[in-house]
Amino acid sequence: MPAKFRVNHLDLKDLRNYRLYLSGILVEVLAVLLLMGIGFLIAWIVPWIGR
Amino acid sequence: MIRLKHIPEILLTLGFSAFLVCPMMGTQIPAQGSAAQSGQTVEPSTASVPTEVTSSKLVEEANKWNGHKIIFIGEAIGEDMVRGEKCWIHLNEDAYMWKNIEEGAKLGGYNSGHAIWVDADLVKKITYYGDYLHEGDIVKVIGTFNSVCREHGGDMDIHADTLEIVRIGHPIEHIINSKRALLGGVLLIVAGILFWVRRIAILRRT
Amino acid sequence: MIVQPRLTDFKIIGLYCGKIIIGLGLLMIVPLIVSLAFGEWNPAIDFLVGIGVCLAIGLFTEAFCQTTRDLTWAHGLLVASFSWILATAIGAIPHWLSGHFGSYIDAMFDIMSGLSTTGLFLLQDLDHISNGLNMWRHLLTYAGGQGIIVIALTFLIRGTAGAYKVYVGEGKDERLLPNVIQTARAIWLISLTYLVIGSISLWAVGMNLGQSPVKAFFHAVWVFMGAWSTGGFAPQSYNILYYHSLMFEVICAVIFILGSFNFALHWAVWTGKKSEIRKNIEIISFFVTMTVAMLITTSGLVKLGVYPNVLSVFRKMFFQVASGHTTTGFSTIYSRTFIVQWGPLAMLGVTLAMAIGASACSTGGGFKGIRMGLIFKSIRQAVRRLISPESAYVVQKWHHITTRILDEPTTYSVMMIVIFYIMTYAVGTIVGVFYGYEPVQALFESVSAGSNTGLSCGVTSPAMPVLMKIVYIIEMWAGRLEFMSLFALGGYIMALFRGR
Repeated sequence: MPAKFRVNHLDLKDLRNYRLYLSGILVEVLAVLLLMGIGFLIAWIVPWIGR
Repeated sequence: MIRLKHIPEILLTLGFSAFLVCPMMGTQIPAQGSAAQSGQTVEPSTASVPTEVTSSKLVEEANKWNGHKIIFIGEAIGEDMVRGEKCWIHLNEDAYMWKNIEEGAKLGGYNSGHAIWVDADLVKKITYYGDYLHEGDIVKVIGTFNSVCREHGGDMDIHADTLEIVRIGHPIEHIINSKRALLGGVLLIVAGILFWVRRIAILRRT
Repeated sequence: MIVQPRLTDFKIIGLYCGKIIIGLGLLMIVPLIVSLAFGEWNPAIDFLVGIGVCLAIGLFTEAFCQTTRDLTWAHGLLVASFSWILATAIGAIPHWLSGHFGSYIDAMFDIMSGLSTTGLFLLQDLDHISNGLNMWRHLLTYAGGQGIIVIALTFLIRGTAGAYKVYVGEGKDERLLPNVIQTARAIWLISLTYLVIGSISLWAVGMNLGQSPVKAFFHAVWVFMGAWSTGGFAPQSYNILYYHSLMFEVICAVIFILGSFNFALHWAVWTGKKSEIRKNIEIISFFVTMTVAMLITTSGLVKLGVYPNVLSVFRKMFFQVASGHTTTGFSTIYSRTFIVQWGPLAMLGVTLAMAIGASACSTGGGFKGIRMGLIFKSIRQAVRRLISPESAYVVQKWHHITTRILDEPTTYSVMMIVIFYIMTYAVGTIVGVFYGYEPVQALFESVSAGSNTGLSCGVTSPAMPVLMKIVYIIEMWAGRLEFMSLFALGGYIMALFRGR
């Protein structure tokens, strides 16, 4: 696997960094939406089991 | 990635969940929340004689008033939020509805009110909404109270059919506190002097 | 032998506290500008007075506490704890001058609540306050979430070795980058990027929901600040219920959940290490405990048949549980609804979520996901040791940015801090019960204060007994600084009297 592009210092001028940051944001938002999905499943299944 | 070693944890979580959920088995879910408490005298009948209720009573006895026609009077605050043909407004029925703190009213606890879902046309009657600069119109609505509105994701709201203005609001006269302004000015001058003192102290130190 | 503090010690502490108070004063310039822009002259004057007091005290202290010595660990902790008390006392001036508070303690309560990103409040008639004061309230949560010391580090303090010690004193200890000043700047990059994205999203949605552009803008910025900082202050008394919108709630939830993540995690994911999001012990722990809390709360709600359809159950349950678990404190239900409609089981689900709290080195509170995760791991290790042959060496690994081995000192410190949190929750609960509140309610409120959540079931009110207000202020302070700084302060005071 090719070495992932990593940054270990804060460089606000390198534009490649911003693309990296944006993709990071996307990953994080998706993780939260996954959690919401789990919540929705619980809200759906629990009443259904209870019936 | 889910591996073999995660299986005990997954089983434990599922087992715990099953333990929580099992008591649910066989429980009849009441049709309309716990309002289905038969035998309890529900005030005003479901025949449409609307009753005036305070905002705190609606919260404290939410299930009792659910689905009933009520009269609600409060100060319109914030702003109207028009969504298509309907609109949201918020009416506060609390210690500040007739006179608020900015006008010199005494402190009387938190705000208390309800959200009203009403025709956008009716809302046009409202002139002033309460905020720092205004005391809002006092509005009277008649409509159905929902302790958990089906249409609005379980929100507690009132679907109003009619809307009248009880008292028009007004802009608030704020008298500028000149004594305090003077105090502020003096403090800034003192700070300015101390800034130079500090500068000298730093220079002396180095 | 306890060494009595010397004049130089007071000077170092005074110097750094002075800088932080100056920082607080400069922060007040923002609400001042907002007030001037809206023609709110009296609030502007109130902020002028506040700025004047902050600058006067801060500059005075700095002027007379000049020293070339650097900070030690003890100094770092003391600056952290003491500056928070000072900031609470002095930052309350604009609040008190606004006339919306019953007493100065009420005003201080709100400042401590804002800075510690709790969100409980004693301000009265919120719906009629000035835009300037609203700006100050929300800015406090944003600044407090970042850490007033992180702010000071960014602008006012040089990046010496001592600076790191003050940073740790405020409850963060992650080194995102080798230099602590760089770390502070990286934290700012993350926060400001989300500020822009989050505010714009909320602004767009707000306008779509029927708000006027100016109001929608300020509400967007304020709600963002309340969400990202996991503070929970909102511009209207209706909190997030005001917006009546699934989309708004979803965006809020995304923001406050992300705000509750460890800054080191954000940095790792942002700089190419995306796998961190699923390997990290805090994220895994968070997902597990969220699921458990959601199950408990949903069971409670379904048993009482509170909500009529799946969407309502999901919207109300998820928002309140997530708000509690991330220690945000936003709500889409009235406070009393917890008691009147939700009932004890659902409340206990939320209480559990609040107690555990958010990730470490984030804007959140509670005893933190990392400790919850490590407790799970410790239990696992203990069980494995029991079932392994005596001579076997059981190694338990855990992953947080890097993979590490779980050792005794780590387990020890985790347990200690969790015990302190639980003791804090307990003390608050006992005080509540003493004053006649029901145990479940007293517990809920005490955990809300100690974990810096801010959800209220109606116990917190201006009419609350003074002792309870003070106990909650201390709970919020202790929870935010994670105890060590407080113990350092206590120890220092003792050393004043007993040292030589």
